[in-house]
Amino acid sequence: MSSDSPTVDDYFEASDEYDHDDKSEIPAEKLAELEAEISALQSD
Amino acid sequence: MERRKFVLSLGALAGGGAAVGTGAFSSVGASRDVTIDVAGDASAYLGIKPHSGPNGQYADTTSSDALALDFSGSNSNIGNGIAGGEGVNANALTTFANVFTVENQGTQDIDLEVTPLAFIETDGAPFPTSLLLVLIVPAAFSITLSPGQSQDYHVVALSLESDGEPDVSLQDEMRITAEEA
Repeated sequence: MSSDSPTVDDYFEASDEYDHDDKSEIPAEKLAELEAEISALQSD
Repeated sequence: MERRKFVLSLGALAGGGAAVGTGAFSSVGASRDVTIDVAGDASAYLGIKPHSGPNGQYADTTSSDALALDFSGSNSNIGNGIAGGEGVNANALTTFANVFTVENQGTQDIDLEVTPLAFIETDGAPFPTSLLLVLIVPAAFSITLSPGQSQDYHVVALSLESDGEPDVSLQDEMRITAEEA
């Protein structure tokens, strides 16, 4: 897990007890948008 | 001679008196005041509070002064900071920077962690037509805070609705853990 450039997977891995099976339903382009957003927030 | 002897005896008596004074009792009972207040989240030793910026309005406070993230029509700040909005947009990625803050208001360094950081809800199994993903975004997943230091948290919500209608909502809990570093 990297705090420099976290992926959405990093967030799910940090949330072990939660059922994340539905994550696969998120289209790849939406995941990329999400990761760009959280990366921008963490670098602020 | 007699006088000198007397003085020495007096000295011996004084020393003995002091020794008896420290060990003359076998127990002491005394009452002392103890004051322990249970504080609301914002003013407790682990301060959990809405961010001071505008998006802090999405961090509502429950009747027991506990912080609760509320991006719904039940947020009590609607009409008083939130201008009527009752949820995130369908088929949109919504970002809320600086929603809540956790501050070390105690005396020692603490290791701070919030979990889970990801929440997801779907509808329409086995082929979901609605999906709502919410991420709690800190500057770092795990951080050590010295007394007086704080960590800000952001929230990102992704809504996917194949029919354009909002069909899912999400209710869950996050745990905030602080341990002596």
